This record gives sequence, C-alpha cells and structure tokens, in this order.
Amino acid sequence: MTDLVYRSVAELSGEIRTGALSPVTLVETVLARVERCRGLNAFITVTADAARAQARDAEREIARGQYRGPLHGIPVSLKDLIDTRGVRCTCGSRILADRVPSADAAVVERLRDAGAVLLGKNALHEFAFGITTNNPHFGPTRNPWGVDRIPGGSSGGSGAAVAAGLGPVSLGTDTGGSIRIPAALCGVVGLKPTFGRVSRRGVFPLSWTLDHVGPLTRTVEDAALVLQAIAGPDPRDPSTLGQSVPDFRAGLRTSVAGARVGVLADEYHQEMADDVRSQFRAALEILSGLGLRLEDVRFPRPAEARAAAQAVILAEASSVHEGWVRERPGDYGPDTLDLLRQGLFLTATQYLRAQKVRALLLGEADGLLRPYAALVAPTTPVVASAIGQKMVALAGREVEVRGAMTRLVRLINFVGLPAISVPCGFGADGLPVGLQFIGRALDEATLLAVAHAYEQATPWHTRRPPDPPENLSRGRVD
Amino acid sequence: MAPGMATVEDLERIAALTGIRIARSELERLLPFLNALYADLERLGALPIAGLEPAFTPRRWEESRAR
Repeated sequence: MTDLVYRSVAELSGEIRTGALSPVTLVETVLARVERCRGLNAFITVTADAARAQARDAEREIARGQYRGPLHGIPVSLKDLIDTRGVRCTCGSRILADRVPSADAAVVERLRDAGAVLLGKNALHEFAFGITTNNPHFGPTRNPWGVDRIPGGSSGGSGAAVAAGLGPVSLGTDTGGSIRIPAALCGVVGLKPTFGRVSRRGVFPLSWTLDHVGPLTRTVEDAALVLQAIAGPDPRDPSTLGQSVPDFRAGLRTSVAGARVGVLADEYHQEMADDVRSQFRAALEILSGLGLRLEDVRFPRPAEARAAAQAVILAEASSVHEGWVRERPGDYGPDTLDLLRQGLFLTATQYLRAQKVRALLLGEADGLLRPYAALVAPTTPVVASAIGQKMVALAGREVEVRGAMTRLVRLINFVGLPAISVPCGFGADGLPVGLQFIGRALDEATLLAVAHAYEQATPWHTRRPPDPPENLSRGRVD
Repeated sequence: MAPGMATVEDLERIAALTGIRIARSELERLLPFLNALYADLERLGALPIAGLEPAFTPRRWEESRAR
C-alpha cells in the first residue's frame, strides 16, 4: 500500500493505461491512506463516494479504449477555495463554512475533462491569507515530517496531503508564496505558473493582481502533466492569456547543459538559516555539475518590491472582504482580521503607487531574466516552524514567521513570473528544505527542464516521511 | 497618511468615514504596522515611476512581454 500511494502520476498512469492498475483499486488505497492520516488534518472535506464513482467511470472508459490521458483515473485533491459544484467550499473560514458552489472552477472542469478523480478539499490558512495553516475554525494542519510543525501555507493541506501519500496531486493557489512555501516545508514540488497561464475563474480571490493557481506534486514531471491539463486561455477569465500551451512533458527532455542560471544574491543570501544555507550551497554544486553556468545576479529592488506587494495584497484583500469585515468581524481568526483591517487604512493613491512600482519592476525583472534559463534561490530561509510559533530566529534576530517565510517568494508573485520549488534536502530536525527556480514569463517549459534536471540528479524527491501517529489532536492551537 | 506619521485619532476618523467599527485599543495595536507600511510606501515615491501607468491590466502587459 505504501508503495502505491507514493508512486508518481507518470508511473501510475502508465499502469492505468495498460490495465495493470485499476483506478478503483488506486482510489480505494488512497482513501484508506487519507483515513489513516486523518490526524494530519490535510482535508476539510473528503468526497469518498463521489471519488469511488468517478474511479469506476474511469475504469469503464479505459476498458472501452477511451483513455483520456495521464490524469485519467488519478486521484487529485483541491485547496478548499477552488469551487466544486455541489461540494462545499469553505475557504477555510467560518464565514463560508456552509457555502456550496453551483458550478466548478475552470481548473476543476479541466481536471474532470482529463479524467481525474476528485478526492476532496484540502485545508488552508483562513481565506488563504497566511502561511501557517493553523486554522482557527478547522484546526491546524500538521507537517508529515514533524507533526508539531506547520506545513506552510496557505496551501498547507495540499502540501501535507501530497507529502503523506494522500494522492499524488493537489491544486493550490499562490498569492505570496502559498504553493511554494508548503511545497518547500513538506518536501514536495510546487509550481506557480506565469500570471495568466491558468484560469482563476471559480477560485475565491485574495488579490486579483497576485493570485495564481498551480499544482503541488511529488515530482517535476507530475507538475508538468498537471500544468498541461489546466493551462490555457479561458474566455470567461479576462486575466488569462491567449498564448498557446507547449508540451511541457516533452520539454523536460531538453538538455540544460551550458545554460546560464542566475543565483540570487544580496538579500537572498544575507538572511538564511545555517541549515538552509548548507543545503542551498550543495544544490549549487549539483547545478554546476550538470553543466549549468551559475552567475550571481541581483533581483531589482527587493525591498521596494516587498513593500509594494504588501500594499497591493492588503488593499485588494480588504476590498474582497470589506462587507464581512464591517458586518462579521468576530467570524474571522485574529491574524486574518488584523491584515484585512490594515488594508482598509490604505489610500487609493498609495495603492496606485504600488501598482506603478509593479509596472517598473515588470520591465526590470524581464530584463534580468532575459539571458538566463532560470534564477535560483532557496524557497524559504528557514525550515518549518512549530505550530503556534510566532517568531523565528534568522540571521541573529527574531523575525515574524510570516515575514520570514514569504521573504524569498512574494516578490515573484509581484512580477508574475513562473517559479517552482523542489525538494533540496533536509535541515534541522530532519525537516525539508526547498529550492526555488524562477523562470522567464511564459517559459515554464525551460523552468521545468532546469528543475527536472536538478531533481533527477538528487535523491530528495524519493524520501518519505514517517507514518503519523494515529492519535493526533485536530484541535485549535493558539 | 503620508508624509508624516498617522495617529490613532487619524485612524479613528478613517474608520468612522468608512463605517468600520473597531476599538481604539485595536487601532493602537495596528498603528505601528500601518506607520511602517506608510513609510515604506512613501519611499516608493522616489522610484522612477512618475510616467508609468499602474500595472493592473495584466492581460495587456503579459501579452506585450511575450511578443
């Protein structure tokens, strides 16, 4: 059983296509694993009966010769702010605890078209506005690598689920690192595509400027397969692009030897825990060994980018939530309410100044990336902190956990570039470390090729966390 | 708010204008965060952005950068 739940989509699909593996067997095995690992609190809703029915449909279709592709019969879960027709979508909140959407999100339509089996809805930080997934309404999600640790967030349930073998794929969202942070802290792969590559129709917004949808998987190849299924224009989402979608899986075979990779220096290097620094340096040696040409580069104006991004996310999130903040403030968790209230005190001119800075940085970031296949940096400067921990030591001073975790990822959302986090070894207490590659706009193919080359040269994606204890509390932790 | 530092009284006036009910003690707690953010945003004015349009039209800028 353990072996089956840890196989990749690429491996599973090969067996499903030939009939060597039944989607029904696979889904039953994964559902049993979900039940066994309930204490991780990775799911808010499990749609077991619907998943079984979809698996039976997949099995019948494949037996009739109607194989749809590599996601056919594959169990997939969704962050619980992605709309699912007839299945509640809570956004991890009390405010929407009983909301049942009448339509699927665009990405769910595409997964269904690809034949994926929807397992359920993953836990998240309340309304995706935070990075701990210590949810005051549904309890904390636990990191499979250390059950007293956060899985990261906001897509923390997605990261924990994929790491623990509760399905090989989850879709998350990333507004300030919310796919890449849990991927890094849980030792899995997390891909944030270029802004506009994937439709956000039917995904509850946090910030229209910064929100992205993307997969968490256990391998880069699986991320490519999922991106293939969900990418492309959506006439009903005006933020999607008209660009054609390349064959991402085929692109993985492209040789990257000789390509230039920019190593983000300056602030990126200055504040990093020793265990992360050690793994990062080892990763750079591996990249050199692959024939990549590493050069130090500087991301344009990182401090200004962070400040402007903070203003944009606060103002836009407060706009989304304005009515509820007025009428139902007591229904929010304290950290989410604090942030939403801060956004209400920003002026229109401050918001527009931040958006002008974004216009400036878009051009500068594109210019920086132009000669490089990718940039590389750690995903987070520290490993997973304890559940309930507010501050973390970094470079000799105490900083807020949220600020530390978003430090190296948020500014990439601000310029809309694609980025991926891949496992990069283990730091203190045996907790995973993530390596972030950042690509050129709309060039996920090259980004994936570089990440895949690194992954295949390392053993980290093959490591598995221990089975969690069966008596874990799902209660609130303050 | 900027330039200069906001006060709790400033925040109370904004809250009243926008219909937000929030205790003074909560405003006192939020004030240092907001003043730090206001200072950061004030500094952004020194960047060469005067002639730029805000970048909240993602479709246009993304497609132009792909060309």
